[in-house]
Amino acid sequence: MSECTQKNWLTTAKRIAWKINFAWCLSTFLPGAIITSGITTCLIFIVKRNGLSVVGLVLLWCLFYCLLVGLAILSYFKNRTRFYDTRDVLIRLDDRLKLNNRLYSAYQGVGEWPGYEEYESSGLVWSPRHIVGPILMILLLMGSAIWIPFYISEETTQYSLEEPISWTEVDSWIDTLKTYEIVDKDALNKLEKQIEMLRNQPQDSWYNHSSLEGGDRLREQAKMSIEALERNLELAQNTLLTINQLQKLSLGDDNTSMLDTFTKGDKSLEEILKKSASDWKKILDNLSNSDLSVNSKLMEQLKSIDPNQLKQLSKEQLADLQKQLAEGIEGCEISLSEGLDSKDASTLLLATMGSGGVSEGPGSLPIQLNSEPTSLGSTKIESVSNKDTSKPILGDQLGYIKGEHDINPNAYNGPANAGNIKEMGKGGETVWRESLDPNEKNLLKRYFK
Amino acid sequence: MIKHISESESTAASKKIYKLADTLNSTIFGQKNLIENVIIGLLARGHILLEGLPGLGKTELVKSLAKCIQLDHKRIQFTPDLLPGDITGNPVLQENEGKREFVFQKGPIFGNLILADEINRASPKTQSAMLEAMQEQHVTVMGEVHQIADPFFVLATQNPIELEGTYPLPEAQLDRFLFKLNVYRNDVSTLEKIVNEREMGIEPNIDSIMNKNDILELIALVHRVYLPDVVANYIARIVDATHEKDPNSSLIKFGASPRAALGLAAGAKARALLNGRINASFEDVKALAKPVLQHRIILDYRAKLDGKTTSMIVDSILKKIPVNQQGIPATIKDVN
Repeated sequence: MSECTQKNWLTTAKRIAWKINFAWCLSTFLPGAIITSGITTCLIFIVKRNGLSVVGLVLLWCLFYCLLVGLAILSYFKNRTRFYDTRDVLIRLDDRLKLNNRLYSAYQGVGEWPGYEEYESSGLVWSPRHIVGPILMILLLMGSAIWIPFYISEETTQYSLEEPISWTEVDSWIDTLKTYEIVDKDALNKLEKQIEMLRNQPQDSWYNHSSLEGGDRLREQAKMSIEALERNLELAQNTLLTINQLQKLSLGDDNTSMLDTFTKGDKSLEEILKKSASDWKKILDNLSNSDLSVNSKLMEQLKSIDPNQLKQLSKEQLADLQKQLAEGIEGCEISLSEGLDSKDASTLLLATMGSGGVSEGPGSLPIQLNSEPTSLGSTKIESVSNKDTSKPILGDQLGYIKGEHDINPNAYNGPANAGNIKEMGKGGETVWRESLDPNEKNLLKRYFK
Repeated sequence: MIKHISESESTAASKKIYKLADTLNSTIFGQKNLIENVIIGLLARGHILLEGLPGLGKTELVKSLAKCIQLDHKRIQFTPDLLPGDITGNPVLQENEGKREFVFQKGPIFGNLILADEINRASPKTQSAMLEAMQEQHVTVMGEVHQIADPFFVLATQNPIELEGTYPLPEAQLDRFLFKLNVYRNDVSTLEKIVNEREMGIEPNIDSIMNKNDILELIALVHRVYLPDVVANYIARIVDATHEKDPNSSLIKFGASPRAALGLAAGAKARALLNGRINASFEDVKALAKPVLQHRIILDYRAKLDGKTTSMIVDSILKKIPVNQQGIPATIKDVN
C-alpha cells in the first residue's frame, strides 16, 4: 500500500515537473518563434516580390524550421537552471495541498506517504493567453506568408519616365526640318544619334546633372545651327535677289531709281556685283560647311548658279530657287517656334522662374532699382512695451506695489550695547523649512496633517 | 544522529498537550489561540512576553498554567524601586559557629515558572538582572554561580498603556523572549460566559494535568521532531528578509537576530508536536512568524510616521517570501 502510494506520488511529481519544465521552455520559445515567424514572413514577401525561384522559397522554409529547432535548443539551455525536479514538485505540492510537508518528509525517509487518492491535482493549468495566443500569431504570420499574393505585375513595374524637355524639343526640331526637307539627312541623322545616345542611358541617369547638361548643350547647339541655317538661307535669298536685280540693270533695264538704290556712295555697279558674287560664294561655303547643311539637291542647284551669269536663269528657275529657300527659312522658323524660346519673354520667365534644380534654373530675378530709396523707417525712434505680463523678461517692470513693512516702531528691542551680537541664530519654523532635506520635510508635513 | 519522533509518539504527545490546552481553555475563556501559543512557547523552552490591557487574564493564565503542570511557580511584581537583588537573591551575613559569613539567600528567580508581572515598570538595571537567568539559566552573585532548576520559564507581562513611569524593555532583553503575544479583549459571548461562570475573588479549581517530568519529556520530544531542510531554508529566508537591503527605502532599522531563527525553528517543531505531526512545516513557520519576529524588528522612523507596525511588516515579509524559491512560468498558471 505504502509503496504503491509512494509510486503514485513520485509519478505525479515527475509528470508535474515535466509540465513545468516544458512550460519554462515554451515561455522562451514562443516569443522567439513569433519573432522568427515575422522575419521569415517578411523574407518570403521579399522573395515573392522579387520573383525569385521556388528553390529560394523552399530554402527559406528550411531556414525557418532550422531556426525553430535552434530556438528550442536555446530555450532548453536558457531555462535549465529553473527546471523543477521531483523534490521541488513535492515541496510545491506540500504547500498547495496543505500537507504540512508530509510529502517532502516522506521523500526524505521520515514518516509515511499521505494517501494519494485523497488529494486533488497539482492545480497547474496551461495559460491559454500565453500559449494559444502566440501559436495563433505564428500560424497567422506563416499563413499570410503562404497565402497573401505579394507578386507585383510587370505592368505596374513598368512606369513611364518623362524624358528631359530639351531632348523632346530637339526631336521636334528634327521632325520639322525633316518635313521641309531642307537640311541634309545625314546631318539630321547625326543629331538624332546624339539624342539617342542620351536616351540610351539608364532611365535612372536621365536626370543626372551630366545628362541634363549634355541635353541642354545639344539643344543649344542645334538651336544655334538652325538659326545659322536660317540666317544663311535668308542671306542666300537676298543675295540671289540682289544679284538678279543688278544684272538686269547692268544689261540696260530702264530703272534708274532702282539703280540709285544699289549705287550708293562711290561704288560702281561693277564693284557691287563683284562683292555680291563674292558674298554668294561665302554663303554657299557657310551653307555647305555648317552643322546643318542644306540637302545635296538644293546645294547642287545653288552651286550651279554662276553669280555673273544669273541672267541666264529662267524666271521659273529663279522662282523655284526662291521658293525652296523661302521654305527652308520657314522650316527653320517653325522648328524654332516650337520650343520654349519662341514664347514671349514674360511667359518664358514665368515658366522657368525659380525652377532651379539640376537644370540650374534661370537664376534670380533681375534687380530693379527705383530712383528713390525705400524708406524703412529705421531712423525713427519708437518705444516698445510688453503688454503680456505672463512672459516677462529680465528687467521688465510688471507693476508697482505701494506698501509698508509691518513693523511696530514702539517695540522694545532690549538693551543693546555697542559691539554685542543681537541674534544668535535661527529657530522654530525657519529650521525645518530651511535646514531639513525634502524627504524630512514631507515626512513632517504628513505627520502634522 | 537524532532519532526522529514516530507517528505514535507524536499522537500520544499531542493528546497530552491538547488536554492541557483544554484545561486552560476551561479556565481562561476566549483565549484559545493565546493559550496554544503559550504552550508552544513552553515546549520550545522559550520565555514569553504577554502584552495587553489590565484585566484580560494574563496573570490568571500564567497562574493556571503553573497549577496545571505542577511547576514551582513564583511571581515577581515589578515596580520602579525593585532592585536586582530582590530578584536574584542577596548574600546575607550570618553567624555560624562563632564565624560570620555571607550566605546566599535565593531570590524569586529560583523557580520553574516565573511570572514577571508588569516587567516594564522596573528600572533597566533590574530588568537586566533577568538577562543572565533567562539566557544561561543561572545567576551570578558575588562571583558565585547559582544554577536555576530545569525547566525554567519566564512569562512576563506588560501593559501597553500608562506608559508614564515605565521603562521600555531594551532590545537585548526583548530578544531573550521567544514570543511576544498580544492579549486581546474578549467578545460579548465570552464576556457573558465569564460573568456566568466566575465569581469575583474566588479562584477557579484547576486540575493538575501533568508534572515536571511530563513537561521535560514533551520538551525532549520536541527536539526529535523532524525539521526538513526546506523549512529551515524558509526560516532563514524570512529572517534574512527582515534586514532590508536598501537603506533608503527601508522601513526597518534593525532586523531579527539569528536567535530569532532558532526560536522560529523551535516554535515550529513544538507546534508540529502540538498538532500530532512528526515534522515541522511551512504552515508552522507562517503561524509563528509574527509572535517570534514582531518584537525583534526595530522600525525606521519613516515606518512609524507612516503608521506601520512590526506586525504589518512581518505580514508583508510572509507575503513576499515564497515557500518555493523557484517560480513558475507565465505559460502555466496556478488555479486555487
